[in-house]
Amino acid sequence: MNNNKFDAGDVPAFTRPPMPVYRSTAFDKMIIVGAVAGALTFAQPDYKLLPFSNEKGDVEQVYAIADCLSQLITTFQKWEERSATNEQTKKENLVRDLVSQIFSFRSLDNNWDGYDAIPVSALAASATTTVIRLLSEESLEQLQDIFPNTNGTISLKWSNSFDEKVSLCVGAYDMSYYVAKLQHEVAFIDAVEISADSISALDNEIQSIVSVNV
Amino acid sequence: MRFSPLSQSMCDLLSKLFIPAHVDESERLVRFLLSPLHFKNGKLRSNAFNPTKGTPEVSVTRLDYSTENKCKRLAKKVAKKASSTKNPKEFKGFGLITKGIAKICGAKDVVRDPICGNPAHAELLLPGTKENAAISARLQYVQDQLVSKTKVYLDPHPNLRKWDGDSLTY
Repeated sequence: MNNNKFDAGDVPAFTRPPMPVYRSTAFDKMIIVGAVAGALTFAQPDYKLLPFSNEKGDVEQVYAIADCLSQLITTFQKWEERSATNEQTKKENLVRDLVSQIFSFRSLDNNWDGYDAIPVSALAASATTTVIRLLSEESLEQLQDIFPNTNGTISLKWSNSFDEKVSLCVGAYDMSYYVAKLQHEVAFIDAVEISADSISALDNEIQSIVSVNV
Repeated sequence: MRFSPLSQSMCDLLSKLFIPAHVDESERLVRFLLSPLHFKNGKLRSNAFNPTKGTPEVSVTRLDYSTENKCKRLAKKVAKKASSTKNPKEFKGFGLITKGIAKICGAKDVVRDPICGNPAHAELLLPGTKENAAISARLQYVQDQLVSKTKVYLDPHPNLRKWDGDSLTY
């Protein structure tokens, strides 16, 4: 076993089990729809689908069903809220794993590649962290590789099954990237300031590539 | 490494005598791969073709004027020199490309640059980089092209002094 912790640049330095994420399923929706249909049917007693009529003695049952329906809807709303929270946590986990990797590059020593390389600078690591925090969760999920360069910068790569690519390099104060799409000229974007707007534009390019993965 | 002026001039003389200055388009060029960070899942990363800090040059060896065994010995020597207890390095293998293919990928040129101990040494010229400044988009593209065309020969027995992997052909 190789003890070099950088040996597997592919293995995240920090891993945690994924948080369970609730997503509303077709089954959940069927329950809600069923409940609503039941209530509507009850409101029109001519259908006689429910085991009671519109007589006075059945009023308690009406309230009971209304309560059930109300509880069901409340539960559903809570599930939806929890789902949104879990999505947020998922992005935070992705960011944390990547930041952990980025800062592991800081511990490289001089000449780490045998060709006079320098370790990743604190500024470049910090700038890359900013980029990662501003990228969307989908882009972070689809990130294929992250690695240090010999001049102290960090590269990030995305591609899809058609070999379309986005290649990004983040330096201490700026970033450069190219976008290679089929039947398009390669777009070269150089020395862009790291800001919410520039990262939003980059994110759109990444989305246009990773969304066509098959 | 330190060399006396005499040994350096001897090296220059020998390389001038036996190695042509012009690098032919079909010449095989070998890049020594020394860091585990040059790979992910056995695939080469583009940082294997990062120019040396502050220059536009990527060190290669003209295999047609050297041998696989000699390249391995040199690479092991470089790895040993660059190794530290914190980041140990060892020779991982060779990346092989030809000058012609490298130029198609966007390299500007390959120039002869003999150094003592390796008279077949040459420099692959790419767009340069600056310390801590983002690598230009065009250089990233050229590096990715080079990586896609480079044949990787991993060393099956790094501890052996001789190369006993597949013969390096392009």
